Amino acid sequence: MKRRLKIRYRFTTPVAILAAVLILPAASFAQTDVPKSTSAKAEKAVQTPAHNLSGMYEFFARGVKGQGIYNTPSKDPAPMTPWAQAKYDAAKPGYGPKASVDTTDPILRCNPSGIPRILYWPQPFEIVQTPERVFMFFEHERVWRQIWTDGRSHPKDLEPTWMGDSIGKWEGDTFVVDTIGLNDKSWLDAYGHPHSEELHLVERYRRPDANTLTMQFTVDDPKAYTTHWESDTKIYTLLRNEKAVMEELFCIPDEEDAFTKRIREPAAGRPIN
Amino acid sequence: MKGKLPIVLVLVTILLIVQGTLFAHHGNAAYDDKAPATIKGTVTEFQWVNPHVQIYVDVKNEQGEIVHWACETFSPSKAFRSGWTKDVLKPGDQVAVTVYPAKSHAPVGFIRKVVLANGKELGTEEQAQ
Repeated sequence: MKRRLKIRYRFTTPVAILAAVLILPAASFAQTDVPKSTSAKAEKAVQTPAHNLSGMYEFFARGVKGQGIYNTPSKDPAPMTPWAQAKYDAAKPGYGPKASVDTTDPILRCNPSGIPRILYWPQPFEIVQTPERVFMFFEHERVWRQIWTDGRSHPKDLEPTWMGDSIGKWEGDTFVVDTIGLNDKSWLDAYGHPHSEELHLVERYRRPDANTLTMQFTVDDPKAYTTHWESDTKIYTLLRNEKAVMEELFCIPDEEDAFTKRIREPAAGRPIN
Repeated sequence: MKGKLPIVLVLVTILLIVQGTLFAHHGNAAYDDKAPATIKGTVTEFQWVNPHVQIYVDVKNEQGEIVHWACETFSPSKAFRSGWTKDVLKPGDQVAVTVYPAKSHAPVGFIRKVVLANGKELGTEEQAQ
């Protein structure tokens, strides 16, 4: 962009002024709270399709500042109720303040990560939109979720599940997803924070530019936390071309067991049950 | 510019190592990320499998004994996005592997970088696009 302007200036100043008048408003329109490293990215921001989240994204891609912590909603967990504190004390996570070499994280027995934990997992997911639903397909565990966008409400008397019941709608440039109906078998994060079946989750997705997806969410679970838990903003990068690959990554108990025997137990220096 | 290239490469390498975030879904408590170590030896086995890619290396210690090292890194798909392929290593290859070693002092490590005999480096961080 700069180079182009410089060349025009060299030849004809009026053209350069005209170009600046035309280009500057577009550039300022593209400003967001997400840092950008190049003017090329700002150009692409203008081209971001409206109300379209489609694409394959990864949370762990490099080159993103202020990406948000992975493995947990934020660095500042909400205060736990006695019910949640007892569950947290009993948990043996692999990460966080209570990290243990012989973690009993349920995902190591191939239990699903569930919603919301899989959303801030450092492996890609793909979003596909249809007129009535938004689908999210996750490489990790090869699971998927659906978010209804046809205006329906949550069903009454939901049976709790790993992925819950999700409905979504656009509020301006933000796609807001409302989820309830989650079982209490999954951890909220890799640190062993629990949640109850009362968990009400609100996720807010935006595409500040064509290469980026952001998500911020609120945990509202009065049985487990005495206040709302606001996540930091998770920033995902669009995977393109040969990087846009999701492989078959089921959780296979046999493979997990083999890995435990050959790597985890020697590293821990003792058997792991 | 040509003369500055080695400096740039060193800086980039330092940046990659410093910024590298240890991740494995089994947790990071078993490894010492404060004391990275580099082992050199012969590949005996290269496992391009889930949940994590594994490299087994025979390393001669100071007493001249062979120590069997087991090294792990991310899933194959993430290794692929970081520039690895399923046939990038084979038994018999000479490698230098930088790892976060196990705190238990067992010969097990979490891979940060692999340098092949031809100088090619395999990192564990994806490059910005």
